[in-house]
Amino acid sequence: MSLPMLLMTIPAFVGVLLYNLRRWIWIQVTLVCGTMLLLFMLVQQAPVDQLVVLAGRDMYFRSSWEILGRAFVLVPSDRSLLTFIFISVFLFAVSGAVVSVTTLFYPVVLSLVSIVMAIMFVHPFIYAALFIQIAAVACVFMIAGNVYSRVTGALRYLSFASIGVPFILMAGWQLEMYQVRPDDNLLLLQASWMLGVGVLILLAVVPFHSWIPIVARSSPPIVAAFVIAVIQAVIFFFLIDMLVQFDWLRNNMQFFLALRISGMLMIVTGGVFVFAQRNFGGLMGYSALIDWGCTLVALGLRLPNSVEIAAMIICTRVIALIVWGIGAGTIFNSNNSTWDVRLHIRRNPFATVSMIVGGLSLAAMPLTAGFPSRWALLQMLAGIYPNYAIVLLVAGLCAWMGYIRVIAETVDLTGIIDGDMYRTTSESRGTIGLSVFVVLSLIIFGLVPQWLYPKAASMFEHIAMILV
Amino acid sequence: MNSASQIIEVLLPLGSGYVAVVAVSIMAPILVVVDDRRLVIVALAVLYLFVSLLFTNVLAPQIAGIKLIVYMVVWIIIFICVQQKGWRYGEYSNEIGGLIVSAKIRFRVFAVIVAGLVGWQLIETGKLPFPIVAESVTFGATQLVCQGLMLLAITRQPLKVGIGILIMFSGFGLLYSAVEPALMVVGMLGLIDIAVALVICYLELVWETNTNKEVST
Repeated sequence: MSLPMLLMTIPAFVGVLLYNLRRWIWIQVTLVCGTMLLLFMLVQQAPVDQLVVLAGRDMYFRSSWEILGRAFVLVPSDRSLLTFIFISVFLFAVSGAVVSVTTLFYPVVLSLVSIVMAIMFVHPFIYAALFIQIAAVACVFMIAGNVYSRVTGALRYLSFASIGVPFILMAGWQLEMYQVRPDDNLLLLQASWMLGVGVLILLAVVPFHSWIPIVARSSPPIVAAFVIAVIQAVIFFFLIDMLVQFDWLRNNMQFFLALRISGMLMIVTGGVFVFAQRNFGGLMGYSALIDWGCTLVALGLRLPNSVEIAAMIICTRVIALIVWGIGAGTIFNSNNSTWDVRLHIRRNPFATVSMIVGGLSLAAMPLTAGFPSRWALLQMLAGIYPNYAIVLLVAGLCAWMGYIRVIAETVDLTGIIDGDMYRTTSESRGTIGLSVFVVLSLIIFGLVPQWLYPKAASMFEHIAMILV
Repeated sequence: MNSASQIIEVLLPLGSGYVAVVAVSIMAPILVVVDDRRLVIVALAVLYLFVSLLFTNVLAPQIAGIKLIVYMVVWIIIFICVQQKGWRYGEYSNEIGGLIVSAKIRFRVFAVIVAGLVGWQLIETGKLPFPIVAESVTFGATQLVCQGLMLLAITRQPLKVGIGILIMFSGFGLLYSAVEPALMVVGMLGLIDIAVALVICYLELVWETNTNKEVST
């Protein structure tokens, strides 16, 4: 039996089953969580390319699956990345049950898990580009729902993904030509360009970033958080995979310079626009843009430690966005007008705290999970590129100021401090308990980052070793 | 009943060369400029027919037949979507009325000309990273890519944006099939075309429903 086949088909089949059970949310959640646990166990425990006895039967899990002349191969370094994806999906599934999500959220999420694994396993890599396009199409179904009338974000996301994918396909062709004509270095140069442009478009580098704030503002919060945290992380994993596979790309300093510049562009743009936002969705979108910029800059530094910091940023972003999504999803359940938002914030103080703390963690506020990795990056940049460090610091301050301004406009702080708001809350005990738990988790990870760091660093240790 | 490849073989002498390029170069701008859905649907059908014929220059007729089938499926999906949600948009002040042409149309015509010139210059200057199989085919392909991108840039309606993506992919497919004629790639690109058509119909229905809701409230 082929392990990649098993890993890819299980979520796809369960996804089809879930589509027929979409009225029963808790059954959906249970099935998604169960599937993720099963996949997690398989990835962690299944012995690959070894004969084992399971329940009295001989089992042999192959590491590859050939279909129509193409191979899906599970390499050892994929295990930690898959673990990250399964845990993230598990947490998002639980969070989605607490807040409002579109009816297609769970079936689409499971189908996305299958597609994501196809992106990671497939050889040659040009087929990954095609799977990325299919993943973008699938994402649109959950970004745009019946309740959330704005389809602009979904359309823009689809458009930019569609523009980025052809570049990666062209890069694949250039590499095939290089295998035929190994003396022609122009082909490698063109492949680097194509691959770089394609991946950067998919990673929402400025000016292809506009879908992020739109989706953050107008889509279901937990869906927006999922796309920004997990799906974008998969594109980043694809980039890491390229760097691991191709030493000519890894040794191309201009490519890393492009990553740094792109990251700085995201940080500058995020910093400029985050200050002008008037709602929590917009703040989250531009804070996420700054955070993604930091990830690109960290990778662009081309140092083993900086790559581990990038991994840490990705992990803490998932946690922060889950906390934000739980809070925002509870509050912004199809409320559009400012008055409605103020009223709902007043009625949901615990969810409000969850949303604010999640957002502030994304903006790397001290004492939250997002801060240690940002601080580490800032220290690293201060030693190598002081100008970058200053820009990053200013962008972070802008995000904090933006939050302070929106909080002052929309949240009745005196009610929170007096305790009136908590006494008159309309939140259920479950929501209160979950909000308190996730906020405390975020603060604990901020105070004790060493609990998370080794696990996060293990995601990219394969590239960190070869960057030495 | 004839298979798709036999249909392609019958149509092949009629217009796989300059006739197809001219047809594509006319239909793509119509899709960019016009909002009337009846015209858009007809133009899309004609465009897809001739793009399928252009594919015979870079693929075997049997594989080009697969493309024709994919485009037929895509067209049917879009046709059904338009039929479900009505054939006309509400804003008629922007359409061509007599000799008066609205600012929107004038802008779009200008944008189409610019996109066309860019596509033409890409071939003239030889800056394309693809081998040129036949200049006419490459011209048609670059026109499709540029007009598709232009359509993506200037419209907000889900249907038009989707058609922009589909046109762009068909142009890119023409260029890419010359270098990667593998059946798997053609099949995957076809699958993506159908998936994009489906998602665009979904967005169009959601968008229309909510637009109607907002109007009624």
